[in-house]
Amino acid sequence: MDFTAYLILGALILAFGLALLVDSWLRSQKAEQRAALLVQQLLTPAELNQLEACGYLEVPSRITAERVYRIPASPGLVTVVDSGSPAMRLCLQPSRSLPSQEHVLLHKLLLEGAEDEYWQRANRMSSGWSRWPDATQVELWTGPPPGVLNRR
Amino acid sequence: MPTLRVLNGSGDRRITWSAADLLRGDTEAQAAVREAEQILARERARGAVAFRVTPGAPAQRVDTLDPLADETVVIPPVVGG
Repeated sequence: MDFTAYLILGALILAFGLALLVDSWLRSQKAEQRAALLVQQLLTPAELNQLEACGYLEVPSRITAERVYRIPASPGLVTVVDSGSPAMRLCLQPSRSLPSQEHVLLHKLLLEGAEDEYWQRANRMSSGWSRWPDATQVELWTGPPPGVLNRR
Repeated sequence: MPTLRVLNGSGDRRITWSAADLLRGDTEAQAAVREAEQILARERARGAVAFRVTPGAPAQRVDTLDPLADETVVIPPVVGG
């Protein structure tokens, strides 16, 4: 094969790869749109407002008094809040891929309808350390920040 | 209108039928309910969990399909992260 044939073959492979990428992106966009619609259908206006304004949805515990679960608007850890204070974080994920907005529904349904099972399956993490502190926390470094090994 | 939704990577798969038609004995509605029951049984066998959802009320876990319930949502199996 001469150089032109290789060039055409390369261009075809590149075009095919790009087409696959665009198709995958379009599918994920469509899935996210369907997920957004589903979230709007299944949550009440008050729940939607909280999700948009606070970045999380609070679900009251049905088995522990003064406990609420904060479900983040995008996939992440669920915070257990006891009597107004963060007590721990729970990590639970779907075994199959879901659009990011449907994670809220998944956690909400499980916490409302199968709270015991949620606790059995979730990994528990202390709420004492957070990589991204929220507005109520202040980061205070008493030593050199991470990445600084020494000073001149 | 009663609906079975299965959450998946493309958003959700849904099957809908008319409760009024079902009560009248409409064969199309009955076929939709049978299909929904088969999907629910298959998903549950894979570890999925189903909930009856009513806006403004806590979700209720269900093991079988109530063909007159408005929304039944099936979520995929979950694992500790």
